[in-house]
Amino acid sequence: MYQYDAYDHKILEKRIEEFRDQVNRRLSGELSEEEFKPLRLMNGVYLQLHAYMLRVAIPYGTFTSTQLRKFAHIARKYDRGYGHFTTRQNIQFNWPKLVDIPDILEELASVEMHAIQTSGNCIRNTTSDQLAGVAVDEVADPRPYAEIIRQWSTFHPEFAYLPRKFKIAITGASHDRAAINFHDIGLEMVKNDAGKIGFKVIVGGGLGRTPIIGSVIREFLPERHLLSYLEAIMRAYNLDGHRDNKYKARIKILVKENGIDAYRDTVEKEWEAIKHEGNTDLPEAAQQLIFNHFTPPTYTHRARHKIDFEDFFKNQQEYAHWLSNSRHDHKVEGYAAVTISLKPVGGIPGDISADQMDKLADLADVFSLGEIRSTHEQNLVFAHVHEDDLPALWQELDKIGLATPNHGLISDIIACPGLDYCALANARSIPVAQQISERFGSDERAKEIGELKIKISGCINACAHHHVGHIGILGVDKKGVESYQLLLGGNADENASVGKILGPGFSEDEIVDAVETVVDTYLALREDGESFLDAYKRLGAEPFKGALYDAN
Amino acid sequence: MRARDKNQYIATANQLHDGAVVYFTGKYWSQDIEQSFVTWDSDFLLKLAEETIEKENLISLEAAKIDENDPSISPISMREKIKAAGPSINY
Ligand code: SF4
Repeated sequence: MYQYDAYDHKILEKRIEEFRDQVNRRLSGELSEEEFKPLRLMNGVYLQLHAYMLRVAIPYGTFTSTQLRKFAHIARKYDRGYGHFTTRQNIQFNWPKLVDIPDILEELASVEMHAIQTSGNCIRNTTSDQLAGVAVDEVADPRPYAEIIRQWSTFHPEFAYLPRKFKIAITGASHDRAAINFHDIGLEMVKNDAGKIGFKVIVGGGLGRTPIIGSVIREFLPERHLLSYLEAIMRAYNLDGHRDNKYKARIKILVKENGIDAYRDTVEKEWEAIKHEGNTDLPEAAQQLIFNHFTPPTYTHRARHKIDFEDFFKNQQEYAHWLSNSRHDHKVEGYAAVTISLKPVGGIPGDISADQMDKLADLADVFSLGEIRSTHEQNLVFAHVHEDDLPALWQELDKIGLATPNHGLISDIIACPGLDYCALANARSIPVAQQISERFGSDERAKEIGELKIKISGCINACAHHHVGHIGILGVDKKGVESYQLLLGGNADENASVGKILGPGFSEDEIVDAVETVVDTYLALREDGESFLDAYKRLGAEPFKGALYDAN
Repeated sequence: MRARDKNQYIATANQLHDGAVVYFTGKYWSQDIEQSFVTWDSDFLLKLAEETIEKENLISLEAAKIDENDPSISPISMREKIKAAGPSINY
């Protein structure tokens, strides 16, 4: 994992000093709200319905037990005892006081973290595959490149005021766990015929008001040209992106309007110009310095943590169920990666208490080399667990309420904060997620249904990626009353698709029944071993529409 | 003369230093919604409230429709209900 040098520490120190001064000047009235708002947003501070929210960047979703303990401390000392993991692999605190935020940022800096560029029209936190570096289907570890992008994009003066926010995702694996087709830029690490590593580059993907699957702008970009090529894409977007209309300002609209071929030509010209005016690619030695932070760990550890055999044999079936959906194959024989679901049945997706954070940090030290990953599906991952330790880890997770065996199943729901917190929301997301999770809460039922991803957004901004849910739910405002639209058939992985709205929306009282009708229809019509998504592809929307609307 | 809206309104804002929700009483601001100044004229209400917000260190001034059939002051929209009562979930 990347470790800060003296220069990184100095930058943060200066930045916090600057922000502290800005907060003080705002509180004294020297700065107006109009002047202050963009400054606080640059530091990840939003105003929600009842309080400020601080969004902390977790670069490519990897963090240490020390950093997790710091989150716990911040949650306890400055917030209300919990944090919330987001679909951008970040963590948010929902109740910090503005006056405390400079102190919180100082605490974060002490563990090499910050909230810079977690908001505003700049390049945001680069997201990645939660199994990066350990996935069996990986061409190469994408994290060193994610770190290179992080360093390049942080405070990049040319890209500090883009037409709109800009999100990059990178994966090294063939199975896309990072939703690269739905980012402004998606990067997939690939090998060419000569066995050289490079990137397939995708641009113009996105969700929100206009969901678009990204287009391939380059099938193979040699890895050493990553930064100059990204710079060319950014420059073309920065010049031509619509600054006059917020809703048309994302790169996806530019690519859609001009067509990928024309956009590619513009980027190629920019790229040529960049190469002539002084190549911005990272020199090999500098690249190597970053790579040194990501050498694979030596896998000699085994926790040899005590197993409570009596409990284990009594609950073997539960363990087997948890294992079947939470364990992932690992590059190194004898090891596994483990998803830790933050979706307890009836709970709030992505929330974790300060006590759980502290205990989980201890478990990470014992079982997973002190490292934790956050996923864009609002779960956590231990990436380095010895297979022999799995029963003990399961027992320990269970003690702190973090052994819910539902990863990838119907109750593993992504939900945005929605109207319970968010000032932009039309409808609540969390209570709908809670009710669905309770309705399908039994392990047997979830197992029978199989893989099914539900994603619920409280407004068209689509923070919970409802367009790419196998079942997507979008909260809308119907004359001051919450209403929910149902979408089917979305998919965020390499077989990307955008879900289609089924028909008229449902009230808060109806939406869970509507989801159940969809699920029952699937169960009745599926062929042997057919997943929800495959059944939907085969059957189309009609049988689901019929079941939902014809009876009425 | 401005046509009267059939709805009644109150004014809300957030405290600058901590973001907490407050309500306009006509003179000052209170965390107690029941002390709200109620009027049919939302433009007048916002104008009156606006004059105080800078001095009172407040942000995000908004008018909220209330239910005139309710004896206590109760906002109509779910958004304002949640703003008044806090998140509807057990966090
Ligand atoms: S989708 Fe809308 S309601 Fe949900 S967090 Fe994003 S902006 Fe807020």
